[in-house]
Amino acid sequence: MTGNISGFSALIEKAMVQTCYMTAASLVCSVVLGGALGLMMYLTAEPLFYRNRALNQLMSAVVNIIRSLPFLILMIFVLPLSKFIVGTKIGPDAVIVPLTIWATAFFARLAEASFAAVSHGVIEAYVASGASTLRVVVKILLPEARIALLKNITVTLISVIGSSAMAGLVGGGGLGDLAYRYGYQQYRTDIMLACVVILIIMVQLIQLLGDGIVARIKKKQ
Amino acid sequence: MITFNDVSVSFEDAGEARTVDAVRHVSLHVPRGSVYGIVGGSGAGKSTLLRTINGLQPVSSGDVVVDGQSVPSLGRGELRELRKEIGMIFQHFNLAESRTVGDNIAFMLEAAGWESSAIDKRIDELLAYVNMSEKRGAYPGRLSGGQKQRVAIARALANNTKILLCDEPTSALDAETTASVLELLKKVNRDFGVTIVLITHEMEVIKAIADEVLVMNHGEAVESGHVYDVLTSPKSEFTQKLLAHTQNYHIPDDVWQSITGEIVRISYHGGSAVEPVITDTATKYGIGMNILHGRIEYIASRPVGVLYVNMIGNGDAVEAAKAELSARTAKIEVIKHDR
Ligand SMILES: Nc1ncnc2c1ncn2[C@@H]1O[C@H](COP(=O)(O)OP(=O)(O)OP(=O)(O)O)[C@@H](O)[C@H]1O
Ligand SMILES: [Mg+2]
Repeated sequence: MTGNISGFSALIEKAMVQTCYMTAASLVCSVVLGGALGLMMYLTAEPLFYRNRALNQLMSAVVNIIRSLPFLILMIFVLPLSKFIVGTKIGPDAVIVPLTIWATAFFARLAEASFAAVSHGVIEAYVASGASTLRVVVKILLPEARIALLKNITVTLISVIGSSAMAGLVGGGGLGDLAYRYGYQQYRTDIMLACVVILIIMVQLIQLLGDGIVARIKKKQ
Repeated sequence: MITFNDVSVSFEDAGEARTVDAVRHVSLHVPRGSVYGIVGGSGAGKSTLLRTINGLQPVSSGDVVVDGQSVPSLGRGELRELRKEIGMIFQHFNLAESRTVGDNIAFMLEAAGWESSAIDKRIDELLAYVNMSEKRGAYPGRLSGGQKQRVAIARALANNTKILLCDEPTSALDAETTASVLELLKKVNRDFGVTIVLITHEMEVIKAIADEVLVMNHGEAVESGHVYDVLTSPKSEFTQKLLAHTQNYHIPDDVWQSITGEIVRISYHGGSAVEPVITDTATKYGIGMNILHGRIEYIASRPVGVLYVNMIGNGDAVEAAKAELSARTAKIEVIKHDR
């Protein structure tokens, strides 16, 4: 165990960077894609906009199918696809693809619920103004839903961190990978513990930050 | 201004395979510049009918003509243009909580294509009109119900609207605030000639503001006409029942028991006040007439009243007095006979 301190911290640091990278990249992609999908599900369910049962149920079914797969299974299905999209089947880059698909479905449902929770009367009042749907969505629906959306982005981010840790099982890199390969397979309890503590701290910080932003908006309006 | 031609609206009830006929064959004309009240119980189809005017609710059959345009046959773009001329206010105000008072109004003006320099001035003008100038930068969450409704009225009028649709605008407000909001709506009608269609389930609101009224029950137009006519001589049983709430008074049991002589209920509507009729009759026939209960109010500036009167005196004189009252008032009913 000599000379392990610098090796230890280098390992941890690399894993942390990988986890942050995977998480951030998939979060950004999934908030954009899932937000758009959630918005379309809301718009196709709402008679004031573009109610379309068939399209709505199709999107809903796709989201449900993705959400019903355990992340590990989804990853095994999707990793071959990663080779096409990002050119590799292993490592953090490869994991971003299944992680994004999974988080997109996850966030789409939450975003849809956030939009549906906006007062129907407020939306009706602004649709009745003769404004275009785009204007009502951008200037009224999104701002009215922002508190719920922010809470749900926090929830999604935390879930993505959890799922990214699972990526370790297929050589995805990151803190989960480190904990699994060193901590579990090589009985390095110290590394395992360090990984777990770092993950706990990350989740706590994110939740604190999310709650803080929400509290600031609420205080203002 | 607005004409309904045999309008029906039905909803498919998703759960069961049945349809709900929310509006059934309603025909109606709302004159330009008038205040038209729609009254009826819960689920009568009032909101559904109102929402066909700006196309928020498509009709199942029939036609709605607004300012010469047939609403059901308008395309999406044309409908949007029409909506810019129709304002709407609601029971729960429906202001965007994420926008300040000023920005709630600004949205309407931006959507209607106003220049940004004109928008700022227009918002000041509107807020001054509804007496809310100092709240321009406030968020709706900080306002009282009455203040919110004032802002909502300013928002609805922003684009110089010609028609104002009001869906139970005072149902969430206390009596005093209700009176001030109704006063403001009347002023809007007078100052700008805005045609107002107003839904309510309270006859008091109709009395306070409407020129004409439509009574709805189970999706049907039960009766319609000038407020004074409908309220003083309702033709349908449903309207009579609605009115009974506001025109029947309860005399406490112990008062009822202790009274000797007849008690009559006199309904009165007419050009001059009712008291002289009572005093005249009492003097002429030498009987006592004590007013026990009742109220005189003014609908469309004409008095309408119900009085409960205890008649004391000898039998023949009382009969003669009743005959005279019957000739000089709308209706007289004996509700307690002399023992
Ligand atoms: N979108 C809808 N889908 C299905 N049924 C509806 C819908 N909107 C209204 N209804 C039904 O149509 C009928 C009339 O409703 P409406 O809201 O017009 O009544 P209302 O007179 O405004 O009542 P309230 O005083 O309670 O507001 C009710 O039976 C209601 O359940
Ligand atoms: Mg209603």
